[in-house]
Amino acid sequence: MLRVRNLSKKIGGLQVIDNMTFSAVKGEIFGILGPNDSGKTIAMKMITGLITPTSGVIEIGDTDIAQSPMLAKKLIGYLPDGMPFYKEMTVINFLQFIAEIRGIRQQDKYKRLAEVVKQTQLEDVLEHRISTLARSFQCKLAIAQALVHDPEILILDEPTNGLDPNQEHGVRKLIKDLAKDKCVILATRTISDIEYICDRVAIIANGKIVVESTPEELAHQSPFHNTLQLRVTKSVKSENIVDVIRTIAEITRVERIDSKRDEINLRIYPRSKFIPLSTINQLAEDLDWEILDLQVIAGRLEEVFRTITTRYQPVI
Amino acid sequence: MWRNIWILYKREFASYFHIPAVTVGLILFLVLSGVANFYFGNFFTRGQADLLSFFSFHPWLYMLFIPALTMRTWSEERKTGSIELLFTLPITVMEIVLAKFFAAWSFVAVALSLTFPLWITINYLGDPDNATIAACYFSSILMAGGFVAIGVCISAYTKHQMMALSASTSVYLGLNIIGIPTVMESLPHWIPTSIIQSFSNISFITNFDAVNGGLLKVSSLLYFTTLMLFFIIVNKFIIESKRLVE
Repeated sequence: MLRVRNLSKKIGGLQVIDNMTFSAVKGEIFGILGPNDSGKTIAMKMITGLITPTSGVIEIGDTDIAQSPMLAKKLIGYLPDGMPFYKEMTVINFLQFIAEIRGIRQQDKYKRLAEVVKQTQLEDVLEHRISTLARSFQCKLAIAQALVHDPEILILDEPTNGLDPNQEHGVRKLIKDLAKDKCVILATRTISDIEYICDRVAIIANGKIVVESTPEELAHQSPFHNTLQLRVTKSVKSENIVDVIRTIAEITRVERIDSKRDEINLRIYPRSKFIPLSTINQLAEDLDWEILDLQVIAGRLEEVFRTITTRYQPVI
Repeated sequence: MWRNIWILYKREFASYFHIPAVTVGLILFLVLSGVANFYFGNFFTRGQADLLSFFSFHPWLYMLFIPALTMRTWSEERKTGSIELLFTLPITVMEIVLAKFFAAWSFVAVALSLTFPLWITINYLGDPDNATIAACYFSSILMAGGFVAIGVCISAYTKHQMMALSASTSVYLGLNIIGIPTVMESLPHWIPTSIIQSFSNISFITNFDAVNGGLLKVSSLLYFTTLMLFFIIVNKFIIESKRLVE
């Protein structure tokens, strides 16, 4: 439903977006994850027609945004970074303004607004001036204005920015519900946005998509994925624990990591997917190690993100 | 197109009533209008039941009032980021430009209409030529359109409101003083008269003075209309060029 091909943008001689290609379909939440100044917002602005690309093609369904910008804009709902509103307006007046400018007919307007207000839980603040709204309500209003015309595609730029964990949860749940019959593109620098709600993710750095996959598969690329973390009490009996574990054939590497003074904390790298838990347990029993914790570590997206993006300099 | 302009116009016009600086400017405009007519215009010593002195101050009153109105037209949108929201809506730049212009112009027309007590007063005090007064009001509104078009265009160029205010005021001051005969006469004599006359012809005062006597000169009407159209088009180009750069 959304296809972006070879998208590039140069600003003042600086290549801010470099040959970006991706696509997303209805019912999917596609995340674009990147550090600050990586080009996420510029990419979103190009997709929504706010900025003209230097080169590349953006297609919304069968509509090329360059050929038919007005038609493409009707298919998109956009939540800009920073949630800019007309703060002197009340919530309902603002939504009415958006509904009118979006071409919703007078006879359908109130019914549609009622649906959107219910979806985004804005019933209690309709007569409140936007300048007086709490951050979470501003976020919901931003989503509401993007939904008013029931677009096929939602472009959300940092929708959870500035929210507390409870509010983040509420907004993520809302986005997840909306995505059932829409194509959602979510630009964010918050790992947990990706982990909790995205079906696929592209990591962007220096204006380029450097990797694209599902959050789970990306997390598995973490160097710590499928490693063992072993914590034992420090004692005479566990002094040579590292050397002992290294002798296990299925283990390729053992390293000590930070721990309390009376503990030894190890990260154990298996040679393959097979993790010799029973061998380690047996050794612990035989050599009288007091195991405090033994767990298989699942890789985290944050580790992959850090590894990838620290190689790149900011675009701007 | 006109449907979108109307929707944008309503929002823009309503927003003026939420800006304290504009409200203060409006009050000052009304107070200064009265002061200009009765005090600076020597209304009582002249003994004439007319509003000629009132209208003669309009280029100067607009020079003070309209920059305060127009300085935030585009600057505020840029500062808050709402311009991004606007440009992602299915509306054209020209629709936005026209809506903003008409909204600001309407507000000035409202401000001017609030001076009606002066008109009532002179009708109470004497027997004025109301047709002349009506013509002067019409011409003043037209002149205000020229002021507004310039001010909104300057606001499109910068996101700093104070800069827009200063630049607009400077432009208005320039366009006013080149119409003052004593100023033009004080220019160096080596400047050809034709050039001095050309500058004078584009002055607000020169063109407004022509109608102040009750005559609606076609050239003056054309001047203000052309001024409005010109700066509306320049406004559109500025906005579109800034979008390309940004």
